[in-house]
Amino acid sequence: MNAPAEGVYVHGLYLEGAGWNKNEKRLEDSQPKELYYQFPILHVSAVSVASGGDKPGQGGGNKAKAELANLEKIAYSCPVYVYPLRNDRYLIFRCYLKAEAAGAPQHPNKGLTAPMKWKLAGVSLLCCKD
Amino acid sequence: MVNQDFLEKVEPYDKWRSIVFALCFMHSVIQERKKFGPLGFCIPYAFNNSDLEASLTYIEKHMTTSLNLNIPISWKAIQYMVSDVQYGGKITDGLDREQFSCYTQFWIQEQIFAPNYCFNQLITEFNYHIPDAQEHPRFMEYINKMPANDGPAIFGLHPNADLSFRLLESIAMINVLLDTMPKDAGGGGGMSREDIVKEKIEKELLPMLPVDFIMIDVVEKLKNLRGPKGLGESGKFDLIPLNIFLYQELQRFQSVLTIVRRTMVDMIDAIDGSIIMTPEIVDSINMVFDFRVPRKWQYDPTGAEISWLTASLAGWLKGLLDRHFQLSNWIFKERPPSFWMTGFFNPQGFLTSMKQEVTR
Repeated sequence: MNAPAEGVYVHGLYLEGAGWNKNEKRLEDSQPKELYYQFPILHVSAVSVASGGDKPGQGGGNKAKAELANLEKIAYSCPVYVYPLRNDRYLIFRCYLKAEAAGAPQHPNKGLTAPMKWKLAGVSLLCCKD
Repeated sequence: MVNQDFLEKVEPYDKWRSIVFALCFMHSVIQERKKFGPLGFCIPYAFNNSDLEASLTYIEKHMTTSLNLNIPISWKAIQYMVSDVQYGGKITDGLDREQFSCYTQFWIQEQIFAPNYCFNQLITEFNYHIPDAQEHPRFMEYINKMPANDGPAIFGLHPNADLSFRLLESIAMINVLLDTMPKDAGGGGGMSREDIVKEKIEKELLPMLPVDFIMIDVVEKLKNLRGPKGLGESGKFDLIPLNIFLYQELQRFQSVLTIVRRTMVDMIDAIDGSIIMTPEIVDSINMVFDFRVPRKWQYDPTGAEISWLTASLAGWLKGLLDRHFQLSNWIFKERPPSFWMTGFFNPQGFLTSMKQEVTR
């Protein structure tokens, strides 16, 4: 494996509160009894957003502000913490994870969007499990 | 707090009742959510009835005004007042706030007036409705019918959350049990506590410690440590952001390693009687005996964290070796293609350095 041209690869993260669909690169419900999911290698890079702070985005990149706004709608902004003990001090950064499959049926209870679902499920990425 | 009079306080009654019920329901859910520990809220907040009361009073005023002026209810205003002002006043963590506003957006909205509105996301064995009733006793009757042990689904959590919660509970109980164990009871083995610890340190722990990083060598190495293509000049690579970061990490790692070595030697010397046994050393010995991490290794005298936090000594030492492995590979060989971010003292600094490199 070679280093990326820009940014860095990061490994050793765990996903808590959700599972990960590798093929479609999106969040899914976790398997029973699987409390933590070993997350694949993450490519973290920097992009400049025309105005406003720059956020490291996941994989493909979110170059313009409009793209970022769109991402807000379809992706869950997942916090990355150092410990399972979540706390401002241990928050490292946030990355967007795709929240649902394309063309998924709309939720029976309107008003609950896919990113909100994960928010309520308390999904986050952790650097260690204990 | 809520009685029959209260349910008939504001017109239109049916809507008012639905909102009151929804808000009370949300209140109990967030109160219960605390039990899931960090999976629920980052920080356990002490919400109380006055938050609920204040929110109800606000909604009462809002509904009365909108009725008088004949304008529709502004859900946005209500959601904001509840999640950011009334309850939000207690919330100190940004992410908890976001999560809270998800609850209000989901449960305090126009949809709750629809017949058969359901609070739970998916259909489960018990569906939480707003009862279609007018009298206070009927509401109470419905509430009493709710399951006594509410599943994680109603919180929006995965069933696994219950597992996490029970794990947390049992770990807490075991820790209490550990603390109540007598420390001075000499076992039948004939070896005293001190002897066991001494042997353990001499035979296992000390030989396990990795070699020190010599800072002078490190500085030399850094000068020739390549970064990404086209960044920095040969011999001056120590100015590349991530290399500067590496240097800082190495310094911090080395200081932890020095402390660890020093306490281990101190413990042996104190047990042998060649130096005075201080309360600090006694504490460290007790910790090692219990397979826990001595306080000195994790916090400096001011109480700030200097290393990583783990529950067991073995986990901590493994962390030490893994970190040493990553750092020494980086400094003595080359920059790794993928980083183990957990192994850094300052992951934010790592990302900042990365940003600097990308923008250069």
